Amino acid sequence: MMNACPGILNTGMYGAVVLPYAVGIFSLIILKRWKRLQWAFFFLSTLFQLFAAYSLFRSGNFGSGISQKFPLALSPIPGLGQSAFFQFTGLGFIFFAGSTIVTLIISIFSLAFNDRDHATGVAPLWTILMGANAGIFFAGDWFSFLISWEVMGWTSFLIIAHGREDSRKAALYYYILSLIGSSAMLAGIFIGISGSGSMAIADSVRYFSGLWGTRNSLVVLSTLFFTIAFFAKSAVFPFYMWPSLAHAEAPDDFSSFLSGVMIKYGVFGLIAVVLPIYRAGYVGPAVRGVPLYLAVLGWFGVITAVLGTLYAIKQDDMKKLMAYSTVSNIGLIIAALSMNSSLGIAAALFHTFNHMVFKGGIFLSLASVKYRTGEREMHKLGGMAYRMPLSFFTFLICIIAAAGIPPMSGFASKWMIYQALFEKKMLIMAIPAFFASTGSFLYLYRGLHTIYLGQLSNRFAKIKEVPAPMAFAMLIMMFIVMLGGFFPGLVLSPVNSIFTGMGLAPISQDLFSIQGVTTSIRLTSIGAIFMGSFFIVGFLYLIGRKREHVEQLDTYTSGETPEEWGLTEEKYHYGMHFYEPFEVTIEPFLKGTSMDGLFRRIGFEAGKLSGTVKRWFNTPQLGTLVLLIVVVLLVVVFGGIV
Amino acid sequence: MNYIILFLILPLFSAFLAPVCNIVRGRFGKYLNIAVYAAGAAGGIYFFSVSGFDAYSVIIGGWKPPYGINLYLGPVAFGFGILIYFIAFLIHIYDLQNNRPAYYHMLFALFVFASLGMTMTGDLFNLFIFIEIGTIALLGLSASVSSGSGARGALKYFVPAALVSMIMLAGIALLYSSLGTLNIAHIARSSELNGSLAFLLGIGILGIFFFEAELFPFNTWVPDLYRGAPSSIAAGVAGIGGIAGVVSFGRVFLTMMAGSDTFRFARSRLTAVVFIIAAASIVIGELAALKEEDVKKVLAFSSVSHMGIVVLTFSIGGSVALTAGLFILLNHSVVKPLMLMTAGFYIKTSGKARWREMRGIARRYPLTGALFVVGALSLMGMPLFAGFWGKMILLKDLFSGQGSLSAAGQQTFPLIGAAVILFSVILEGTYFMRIGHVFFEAQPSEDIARRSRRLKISLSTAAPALILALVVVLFGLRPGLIEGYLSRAASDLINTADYINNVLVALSAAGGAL
Repeated sequence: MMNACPGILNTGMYGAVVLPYAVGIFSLIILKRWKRLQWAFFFLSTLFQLFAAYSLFRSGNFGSGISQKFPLALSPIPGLGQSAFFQFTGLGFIFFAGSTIVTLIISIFSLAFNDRDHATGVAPLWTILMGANAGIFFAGDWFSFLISWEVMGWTSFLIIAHGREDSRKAALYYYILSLIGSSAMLAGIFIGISGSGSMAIADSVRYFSGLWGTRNSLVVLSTLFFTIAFFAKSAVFPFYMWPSLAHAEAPDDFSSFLSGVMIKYGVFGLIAVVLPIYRAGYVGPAVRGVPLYLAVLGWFGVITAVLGTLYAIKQDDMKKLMAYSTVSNIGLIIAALSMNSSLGIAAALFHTFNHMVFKGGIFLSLASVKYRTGEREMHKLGGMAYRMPLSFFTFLICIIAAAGIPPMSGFASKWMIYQALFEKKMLIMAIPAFFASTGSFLYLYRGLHTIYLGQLSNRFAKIKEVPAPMAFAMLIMMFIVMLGGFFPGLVLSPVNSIFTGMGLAPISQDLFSIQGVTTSIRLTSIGAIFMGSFFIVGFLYLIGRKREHVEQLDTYTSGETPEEWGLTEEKYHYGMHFYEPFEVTIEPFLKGTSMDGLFRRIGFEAGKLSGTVKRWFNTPQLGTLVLLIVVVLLVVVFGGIV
Repeated sequence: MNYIILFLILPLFSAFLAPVCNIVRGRFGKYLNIAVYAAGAAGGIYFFSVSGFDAYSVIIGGWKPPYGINLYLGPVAFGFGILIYFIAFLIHIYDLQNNRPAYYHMLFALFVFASLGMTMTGDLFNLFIFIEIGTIALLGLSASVSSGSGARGALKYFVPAALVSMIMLAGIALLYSSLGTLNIAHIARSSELNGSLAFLLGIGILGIFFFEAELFPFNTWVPDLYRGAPSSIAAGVAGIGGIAGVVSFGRVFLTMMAGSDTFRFARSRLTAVVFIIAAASIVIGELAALKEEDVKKVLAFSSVSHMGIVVLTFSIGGSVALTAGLFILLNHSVVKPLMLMTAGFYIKTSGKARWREMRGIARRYPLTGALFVVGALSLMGMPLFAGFWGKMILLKDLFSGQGSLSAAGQQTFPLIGAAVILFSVILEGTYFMRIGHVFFEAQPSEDIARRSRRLKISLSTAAPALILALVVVLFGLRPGLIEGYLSRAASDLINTADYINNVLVALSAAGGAL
């Protein structure tokens, strides 16, 4: 079957990767004057990528575990060995499919979002970024991977900065960490290439796996290089503070993509490169069967989850809050996949895809609110549910999923994460994970209450719901979130089927249920119970007595006149300092662990070093210069001779 | 008559004719230069296609080497010679709109002639002469725009140049008295020198190359010259001067010193010195650029760093590393003039020299801004651009455990080199992306908006930059086009035995021992 339709596979693969580059460059150069058309082309390009994904799915060996190579048309480089090639692996495919679906929905949103008042002009770069996106997931050799990774880096920098000064500063923080990661990754990659003698990623992984027992330190060092790169890209401790700046300052629709898709690249990298090395043939210290390195990784994940939650609780800005929520969720994903078991990786992948959708939905809903109101700080909003019900519902459904409450998809994936930790008896790790996960309810509800519930300010009394494409996009996101909650098998079956190819035993699940370690749950039933109770309540509401409509303030004040107490409408909404006592309690802990201060300090010292070095070039006296040169030459000569 | 010699002396014609023609008709000198460079490039391509990768040793004056001077036109000299003509051609087109004094074109032609000579000559003293001609031409050129900073840059170039030239002269004299010959091939074939003497000679002769190649600690002139000289001259120094300096450095260091037995006892130490100076230059160049406010000085510091990377590959040795180094040199010689042209245009349009004050200028001139960003991405080594391949080949070689030319640093030098280069990538990315983005930020200031309404970009300004950017993208997407040639050029520099055979044909044929 492999050779049955190589033509379609070839076209599909090339189309998925190369076409977006071409469309993006075309868009950038030719379509400069027609910005709306650029967004249309972005949508079309992503749609084509989805078709490519579909054709690959139909005609490829999806699930049988065989990967196929497609040589590229790039001329081979004698100094570097073989020509670059792409590889169709199951893992890469599901990441590609997931990211393409989410991006397609976002692109529908962007079509309407980027009107004259809100246009950001980032469509061509984003199109190119989608090509790099596919390239990362389908790369078979290190060069395709590197090319895609680096192109992803600089295009995302330019998009996040999108011509504004404060956005540029946020983007630069992100990009510097990304460059540090890239440099570290280059070291790891070239150690692998020189050791395995080949450019293929699989060969390097095999090379490193084979070194266990003989050169443990080299393997650990190399995987550390990779881990630094993937941690920097996925915002894991200690690199966890950049999303609050970058995700917040990016264009609103791109924030959805950043938090939804881009932050997962590190997760993909870890599963594809680092985890297999620690699987077969591992010889070294282990904690309850988990290699020590991975256990430490898991702890980093858990710390990230806790810190993300704590910082999110403090935020007043809705985008920063959700950015920290992303950090927290990534921490949970890392904790699950560090167990390096089928259940752990399945849990991580399930939560990854769920997060893609529900975080994408949350950011789209926030973008809708910002589109209509222009505000990002939550205490200035309120009562949006009355004017923008669809955005409200999207936000509600998605935060239910984010909090891990049934019947939404987040419940199933978080449940699996805990099961994965239990399987390896990592109970002490599970405790902070629980804390982070349940603590998320605090900030998620704050977002809901402060933005959508409470008083509607007079300023926004006349705003409308968002235009149709944006509403449609949010509807689809909601629908997928609910679908994933009722039928977990829709995501888990594809995930399960790639495991044999990865050398893992499949987990037991079906369309409606998942088998864990302590028990199994039948999610469709749980969902049905929740929906049933919802309908009962709804029914009671409908048959209840006639209701009287009162003004909002009336219900709170019970007849008192709050103006006497100096309260205004805005203060009444009580969005400011929502969790002040809690913030005061955790402040010392956060100050102690803040990486932000450390990085700023490093940046500051580098700047001072730069100034010192520059002063060398400003030597005014030519005589001093001559003397210096003579001295240097004398030192070298005598040093060499003696 | 050996027409191949025209490849070298064509600029001499225009140098002497330009002032004469200027008397007859004012702007004739400009166009003469352009025609000459185009002819030179075309001629070079023609000769190259005819000769393939063979090396020509052209005898000057009828006396066979080592008695007489010879030119060595191998892959390196041809390819980089064509590149020098090409860059000079584009710089002159860029310069068309400016009014330059009459002596400007003569001096530029002399500068090009000297640079070509440096890449081609086979005689050490002849090389020294070419270096001096280039220095004098450059001094006049950089001070030609009547501003204090131009003269200051020239002075800061001149005084250290005089010092290292004297030292080189002393080294050459010492070498001549020891070996009795000044022909590079013949020196490489001579008997072994005493270790200390070889080391002393090596340092003395290499000093001027460190200076030309903008390496620490001989590079204090670089930021001031880039800043003070007109942008086209800075582009000339970066592109043409850089090529000449590095190629001749390679010839002297790799062919004459490292590849031969003459300097055998000092080879290890000399390599160590080269490595340390190169690595220091990389780090210092990047650090200095990090906080620099003046955009041309940022480009100057970036040049320092890149020259450091290229020279680092010389100290690593080996065909693969050298190919990478030449690739990086090629990329830098194409990109730096591109960036200097775009920066120069922005400086002229905005009237400001600091990049922070040029915020938003790319909103008025987006093509130029995009070209600047393309150049920056290529220097950073980002894929889709030529700079990516050079850095990748180099890193692969550094991690391959191949060792370096120096015995002492066999294992450590490649690793230190890799660490330094990876570190430089981070810093370079930071400041270049920052500057590139600031150009595109928000609304341009009133000042810039007002001036830009009057100044439209002309074809002669935009076209050279665009062509260079296209070259960068072409080699970025199809590196195979150039990689074969570059590895031949690399072996041209390393393969001392072939070099000697090609030059000293008469001697080896006669079997005479000299």
